Parts: sequence; structure tokens; C-alpha cells
Amino acid sequence: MSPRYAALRPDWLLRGYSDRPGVLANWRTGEARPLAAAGAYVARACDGHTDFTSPIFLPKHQATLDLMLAEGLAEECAYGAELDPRQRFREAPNRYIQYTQWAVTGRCNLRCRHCYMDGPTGRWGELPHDVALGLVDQFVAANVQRVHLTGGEPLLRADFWELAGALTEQRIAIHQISTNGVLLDDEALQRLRDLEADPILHFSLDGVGTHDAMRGCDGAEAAAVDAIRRAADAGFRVSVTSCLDGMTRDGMLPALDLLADLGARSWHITAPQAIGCWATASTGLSLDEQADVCEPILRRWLALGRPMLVTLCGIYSGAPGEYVPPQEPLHRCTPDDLHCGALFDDTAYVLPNGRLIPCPRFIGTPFETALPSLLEVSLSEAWADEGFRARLGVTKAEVLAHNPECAACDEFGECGAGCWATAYAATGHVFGRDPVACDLWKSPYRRRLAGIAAGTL
Amino acid sequence: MPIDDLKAFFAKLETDADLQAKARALQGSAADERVAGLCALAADAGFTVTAEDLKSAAAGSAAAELDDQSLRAVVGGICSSPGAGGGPRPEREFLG
Repeated sequence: MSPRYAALRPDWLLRGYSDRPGVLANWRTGEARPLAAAGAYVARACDGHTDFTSPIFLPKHQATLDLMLAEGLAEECAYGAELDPRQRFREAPNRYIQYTQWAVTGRCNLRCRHCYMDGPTGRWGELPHDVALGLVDQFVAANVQRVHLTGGEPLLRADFWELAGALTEQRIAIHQISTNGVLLDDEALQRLRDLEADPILHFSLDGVGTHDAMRGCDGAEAAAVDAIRRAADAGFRVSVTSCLDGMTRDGMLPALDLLADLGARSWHITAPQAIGCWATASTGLSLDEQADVCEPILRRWLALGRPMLVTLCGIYSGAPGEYVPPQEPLHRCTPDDLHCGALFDDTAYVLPNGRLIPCPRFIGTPFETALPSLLEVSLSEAWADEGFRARLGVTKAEVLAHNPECAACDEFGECGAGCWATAYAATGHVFGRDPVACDLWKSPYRRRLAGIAAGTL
Repeated sequence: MPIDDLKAFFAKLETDADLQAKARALQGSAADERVAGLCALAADAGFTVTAEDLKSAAAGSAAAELDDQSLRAVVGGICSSPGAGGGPRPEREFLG
């Protein structure tokens, strides 16, 4: 029998974690393929030097290799084909962490009324260059596979391109960049291409004719629209988030046609959370008012042929293209679950000061200061420390014990008593109930909009 | 129970990097020597594996095979665990 050799394709890296034998990660797209032990065994042998006809491989391993070849994860090769050293298996001592959102600066060039990061005051500042580069080293050591660069306005950081280059040099995918678009000129788009990065470019656009009022600067809307157009024309995947309140509601429906015309791949309308600058806002909309805005948008989106992915204030979400009936949820909440599903899941958020939190909703909560700073403990150490989960892990059972109405509610399996951080922001109570989720799940709007999308209403 | 030992040996081989390195070092030798070497490695690791067991396994008659669904689980395709929280995922709601 002739020897048979294979090698991982150049975009794929093999990583291991204390709780996972292997994960194939595509450093350009951010795609992750968690492997069982047999899959990791075969992937490690895709090194250009290991003969798959050896008796150390069973038929099931051969079948695994065939599937990896068919799916473009590996390719057959002659003996001696060399992997890039960065592709080779590298094991981190921590649990699995796939994704890190990194707010590289707390500064911003706009004055948004709803900024959860207090951007207009620059409250969070930014880390010095060498310290920020040290965080990249921490991401490498923890086997972070992809990063979402955000802020503040990330492009405002003087060394932004050095940090981006350090990430791609280490084969960490820049999966998304969130920007207001003001500084995203053609040169910036070319620099992204030069880095071989293909991030989703995520813009903020708070409606047509209403954006500037929310953003606190004249000309912000024109700059955002121009940047969206140039990014889409240059072939980047464009995603847009719009914040809905009483001042932006009239700009939402026109934004749909505009974004469809510009080629946006996804559009997310959301109501700001009462943290940061928005904590004292008075223009927020009730759920009834949000639904009044979302329903015509849904009808128009259907009339346009579902041109992009949309999420409408948590009331409705739909994929582009042909209608697909809603699937059963992958997971229904149980009392044993952590109340915060993001808490030390596979995703982390790094604040501009290096503090590690599950997501930005935790700003202003007791968890914000209880969680570790990456200036004091490494990401790998923090992620490996099960004590954090034990100390900070409020369970659904504890929340249910304080909120008997949730325990008796038919919606608990999907609602899960809502979001821990939102509940805390609203109630000031660690075991509080999330009133936003409660209103949403008990309302008729989710079913109504789902019915409209299905054509039954 | 040779089949149980064979399965246990391969289960160890799949997860033990040192054992993998030793097994791969055999690949330059002749076919019979490879098999004998692998049997010796198995013995060193505490398993009773014979040349006949390995030949049978290579023919697909001894080791449990994987159906399509199991195979896909081995190679991935399930990206991350679902979150336990309710309401909209915050990732989409806090984007600069």
C-alpha cells in the first residue's frame, strides 16, 4: 500500500485546551471546528510527515481524514510538506475560549447620547502601547481564536494598525471591527486587505435623518453612510446596528431601504440599556412603542425579499433569503444553569483598562470590579480559574428562589429569567428579575411578528 | 478481552502525545516491524494487543465504526455551547 500523507490547509490552525482535545480554527474567517479525541488525533497527524496507512490509524481515522479532506480542512500532500509553525498543535492550560471582544480604547470622536462606555468623557481611557501588545501575547497564550475590535472608536487609537498587525501575525482572526465609520477611509480598507484580514465591519447607524442627533455630531450620518458604501463596494461584509429611541424611531424604516441598497449583510435594531451615558436618558421607548416601529420594518423587509439578516429589538430575528420555520432552541434553561450564560462561556470582553468581563452589560455591576484585570493576572490564568465561576456564578435556581413568579412562568425555559446584568441595572439586586426580558417574553409581539414572517398573519 | 484492550489502547493513543510520537517513529520500518513495534508499545502501556488484533482492526471488523453523524461529531461542525441566559445576546447590542 502506498503511503498517504496529508497537511492542514494554510488557513487552518490546530489548538487544544484543558477541556477540549482539539479545535481547528480558521484564522481568516474565525470559523471554529471543535474536535473529538479521534478528530484531534487525525488533525495532529496532518503534518506532512505521518503516514495514514500505518497501523496506528484505524478505518475510523481514515474516514475522519476523508471528511477533513472533503471539507477543505486538510489536503493530501507529498511526504515532507511543511506546516507553518503557527498551524501546529498548541495546547493552552485554560478552558476553551474562542472569542474575545476587545475594547482597545474608551475614547471616541463622537458624542453619542447612549454610549455605554461613556465615550464622550473618555472615562475608560486606553492602555499604553506596550501593555496593549502584552494583551495580544495573552490572547496567544490562551489560544484565543478570534477577536472583535471595538471601543470607543477603535480607529482612533494611534497604534491601531500595529495591534491589528500583531493579531494577524499571530494568526488570530480579526473577526469584527466595530466603528462609527468616520475614520474608515479607503486607506484603512486597503490596510485591512494588506493584513489579509477579512473582518465583518460593524457600523453604527441610528436611522436616516436621525443619526446625528443620537451621535451628538453634525455630519456623522453622512460619514457613516459613506463608509458603509465604500466598505461594501470593496467587498467587506457589512453589519449595522441601530439604536432605537424616541429621537431615532422615524429614521428606522427609511434605513432599511438604504441598507438593503448599500448591501449590508445584517441589521440589528436595539434599544439602549440603562448604563453609561444612557443611565439617565428620558427618550427610551416602551416595548409597545418598539413593536410599533418593528412591525412595519418587518413587513417592508419581507416585501424587499428578506435582503439581510435582521434582529428587531429581541422581538424578531430572521435570516436573509427564503423563509425557514423557527427551530427549537438548542438549549432550554434549567435551574442548574448559571444565570449569566456569557459568564466564562467561550467568549470574553476586555474593557479599555484591561478588566475582563463577560459582556459590556456588566459595566456598573458588582461583577465589573470583582472580575480580574489582565494587568494583574493573565487571561489564561483567569480562564483556568474555576473559582471565579464558583464565586461569581449566580445560578438560575437562586434567581428563581427570589422570584417565584419566574418559577411559575411558562416562558422560563426560553427566557431564563432574562439577563443577569440587565436585571441588576434595573433592580440593583443581585438576584433581581430582568424586567426587559419579562415584558418581552410575556408580550404577544414575538408570536405576532413570527406569524407575519410565516405569512399566517 | 483483546478487543477491549485494543479499543482502550487506541483511546489512549488518541490523547497521549508521547505515545503518538513513539507510534509515529515506527513508520520508517517494514510493515511487520511496525505491527510488532505497535504491539510492544501497547504492552508497555499496559494493554494486550496482538498482530492479529491490529490486522482485524485495519480491516474494519474489530473496532467500532462510526456512522455519518458520529463522524461529523468527531470532525466538528458544532461551534460553541449555547448560552444559558435569556433575552437577546448582548454581543450584537453593544457595538461601538
